Amino acid sequence: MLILTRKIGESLLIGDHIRVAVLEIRGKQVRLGIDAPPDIVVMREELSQRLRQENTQAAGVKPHDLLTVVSLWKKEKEEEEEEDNDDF
Amino acid sequence: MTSDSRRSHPESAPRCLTYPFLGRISVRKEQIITFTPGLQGLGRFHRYVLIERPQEAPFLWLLSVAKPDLALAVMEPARLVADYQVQVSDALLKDLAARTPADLKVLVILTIPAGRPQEATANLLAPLLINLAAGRGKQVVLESQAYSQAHPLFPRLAGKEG
Repeated sequence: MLILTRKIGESLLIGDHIRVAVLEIRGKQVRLGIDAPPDIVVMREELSQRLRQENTQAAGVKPHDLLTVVSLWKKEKEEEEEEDNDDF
Repeated sequence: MTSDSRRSHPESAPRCLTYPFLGRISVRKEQIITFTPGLQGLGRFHRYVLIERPQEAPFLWLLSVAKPDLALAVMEPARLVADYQVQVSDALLKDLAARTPADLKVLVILTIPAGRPQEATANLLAPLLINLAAGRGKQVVLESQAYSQAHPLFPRLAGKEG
């Protein structure tokens, strides 16, 4: 891993189009500003892992399971409406 | 092809795509939504179509154009959380070739565990923003910690699992 030391207000370049600036240091936290082209994903690492996992799981949807979700959804909405009516 | 030239040829010839579970679907070029970057975890597939059919309402399909078995079930988040809000920056609007946030359709992806549809969840943390007119989309991660990546669709049913 390349290790660099930077001060507040200084930045570094990754390739020609990505710039990372150190904006603020508060105790153990560092605030970074990142300029990158729109096709580059910039994300907290732990969020990226969660998102990958969630998207991958979501892509395995089975059509008959979606149809069951549709009927459960309709049933829930009907029950909610009945409960609303009971309030009168 | 630019979005302008796409708009000026609304009658482009439809192409038929065959999906293993939806059958043949005819797709016109201007229906294709390109996600830049692609959806995290779903590799190099960037082009999708949004299919709305009465039998699945209020849910929709987001189908990969290149990989017929890559399908996502999506829905409008406002149906789950009435006051759902996404902050859209000017840079994001520009990326999606939109003038105002109102040009964007907001959808969230469902995760439906196989055989356990009562445990279905919606990813409210990372919605899809889509400019249908320009055929551009992006999955964004909200900075707000208020929304879950796995918001239960049926909290009462999922609770019964115990």
